[in-house]
Amino acid sequence: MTTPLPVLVFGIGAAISMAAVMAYSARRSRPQVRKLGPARTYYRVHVWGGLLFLALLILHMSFHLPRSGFGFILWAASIWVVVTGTLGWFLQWLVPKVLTPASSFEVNYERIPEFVNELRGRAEEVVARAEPRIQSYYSQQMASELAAPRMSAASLFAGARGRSTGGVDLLRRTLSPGDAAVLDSLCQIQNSKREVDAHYTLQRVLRGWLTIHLPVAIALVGLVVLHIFFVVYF
Amino acid sequence: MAEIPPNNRRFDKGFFTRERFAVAAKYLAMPNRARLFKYGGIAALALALVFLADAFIGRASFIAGPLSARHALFAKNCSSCHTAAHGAPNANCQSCHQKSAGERQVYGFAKHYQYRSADVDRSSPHSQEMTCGTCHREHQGRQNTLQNVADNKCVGCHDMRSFHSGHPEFEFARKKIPNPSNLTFQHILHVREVMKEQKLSNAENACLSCHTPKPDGRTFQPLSYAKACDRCHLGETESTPYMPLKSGGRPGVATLAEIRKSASPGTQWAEYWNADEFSEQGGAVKKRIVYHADPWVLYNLQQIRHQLYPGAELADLINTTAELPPEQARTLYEEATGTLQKQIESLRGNQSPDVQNEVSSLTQVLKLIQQRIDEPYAPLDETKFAVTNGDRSGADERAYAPVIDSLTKPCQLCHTVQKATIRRVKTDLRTMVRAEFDHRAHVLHAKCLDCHNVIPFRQYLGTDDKPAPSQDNAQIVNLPTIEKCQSCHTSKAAPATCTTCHLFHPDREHWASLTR
Repeated sequence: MTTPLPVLVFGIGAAISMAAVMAYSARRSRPQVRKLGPARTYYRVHVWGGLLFLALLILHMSFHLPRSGFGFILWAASIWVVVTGTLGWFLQWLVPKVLTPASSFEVNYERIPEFVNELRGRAEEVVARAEPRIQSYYSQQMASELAAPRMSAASLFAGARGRSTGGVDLLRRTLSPGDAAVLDSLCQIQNSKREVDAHYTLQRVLRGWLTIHLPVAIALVGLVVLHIFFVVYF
Repeated sequence: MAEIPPNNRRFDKGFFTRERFAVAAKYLAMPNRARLFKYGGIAALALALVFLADAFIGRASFIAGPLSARHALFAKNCSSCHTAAHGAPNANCQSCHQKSAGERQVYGFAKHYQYRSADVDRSSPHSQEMTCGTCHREHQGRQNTLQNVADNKCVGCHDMRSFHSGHPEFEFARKKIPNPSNLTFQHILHVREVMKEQKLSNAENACLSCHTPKPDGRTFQPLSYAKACDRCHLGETESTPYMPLKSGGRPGVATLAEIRKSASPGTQWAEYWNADEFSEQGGAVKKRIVYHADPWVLYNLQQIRHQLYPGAELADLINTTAELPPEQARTLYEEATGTLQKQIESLRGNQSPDVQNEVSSLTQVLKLIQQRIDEPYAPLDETKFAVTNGDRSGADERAYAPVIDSLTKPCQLCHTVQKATIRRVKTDLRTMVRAEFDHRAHVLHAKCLDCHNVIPFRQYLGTDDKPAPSQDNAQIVNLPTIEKCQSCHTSKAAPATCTTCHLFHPDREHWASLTR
């Protein structure tokens, strides 16, 4: 065996920690089997085992970058999985923190389209009774925003706060008090839609993050098995 | 937004509304774990197929890093070095390296195992021998040089942490081994004379008067009488005292005429030697001019050795090579080992205790000669060969002592004489045989006497005082201890890796060091 013992030990350790990390996925696939223990424990092993895997990987590679194509792909996949895993862990910490203070109501993710549609209907009812300048403003500035749920990068950290209302204030100064009240009700609907968008953005990121993590993680497991085969065979 | 006719509406998984947006199809496309698993599995399978094909059909260019430049051609064929399920065994390395070991087999495995260990039994691998690849890491890129073994490979077995932590003191200093040059010599006296003769103000230049660097500047050429001593020593004034002529059983010397008459092997010189250099007077003879390695003196010493130690022919063969460079001496040694080997084989079948004792004795001698071949520079006491089996003629050594003393009187100024043998001066002696030292790399940083200061040159050179014999003699190893090296070779200054000094693969000029 030409592989130095420390390198071999760190490599075996990294493979074992990877196997421990995978246990979380197995636990999730069998939620009904209670004797397997709480998923929270598996989750902790998943998070800390993933970080341990990275540390052992760095030691296994003796603080060098890989020199082969296979080694580079293996290394890049490992880094990708750990980084996206850390991102997922961060999102699971961040999203509830942002959503709770930024939103005045809760929205079920699956019901967001229905909610948006309702808001749009209410807005169109209001606009139908409004004067032409408000109708023009609605068609140019609000209609597209109320058409469908939208992703918003600002919502990731600020929720629905801090969004400018644009030229509404200027328009309001030119309106009679009655028309201004109509415009205000439209703005209230628009703000509600923005809160829904914040929910949409944050919940979608929280759920969609797995798309960039899981396939690569599965591919990584396959590559590690291949790596072990190459080491033993050659 | 397209309205779906009420009768055609259906609730898909995850949909709790009858509303449909243009983005709806993507909107609720939640990550399906099973699907993600499948994508990952397909990716892994595809990559595995690519790499397996690369490994077993193609050139394996992806599964491992590039080979070093010397092995680059093997990248097309993994099995050149790798054996399935056995990694890269030594036998695969050996299949090439044993063949290209060079005419002296310095790159052969036997020499590698034996490397500078002074242990002739270490010519085969240890039962737990590590693979070559343990130290010589491959697949580290084209520029990687396999002989630059990382320190952590060495200290894994050798009981030390680094050059500064745990490295043993140099052997000569640790064991207080004297310089075995067999010379009688005082450095300070000679440096003083050279400086005076050549009007030198710098003692370092006086050093270079005798110690001539080799062309590569790393080490020095072996000292020779012709280069270093001849211009001052053994002028035409040196002569032997009168010595009695050999007659019957009386100890004495042979005249030139008797040598000519004997016409024994190796006496052709006598035919053309000038008889005027000899003076005979009343049954005694003297040589009025004595040369270095004077053949008449050496012939008479040889005759006395044959009288005193009849089994000394082998010693003469060994001593004959004293003036030869190791490469030429090797031929003679091999002739000796071949002769001995035949003799041992012819006697081996005879179970007589006496014969078996002889075989045992010859085997010992054979081993000594083999050691001499493997370690041409190592200290070797020639007298071991002269006294084999206590094989004496019964002649009285004390009776011959005055003749030997007179015969070698001019020689004894510099040489030591033992058992009728002028002991070989080891002019090409290397003290630190396990490491390489490069003078060229040091001359800009230090003067000769900064390091070679065991003999107190600086204390005496400016004066006429004579140092005590214990301060200046040829037995003193005038080399610094490891502490001096460690003062410059630190992690932040000069390199201090194992391979800085311990080179397994020196260049062709230094191949001989591998065989010590």
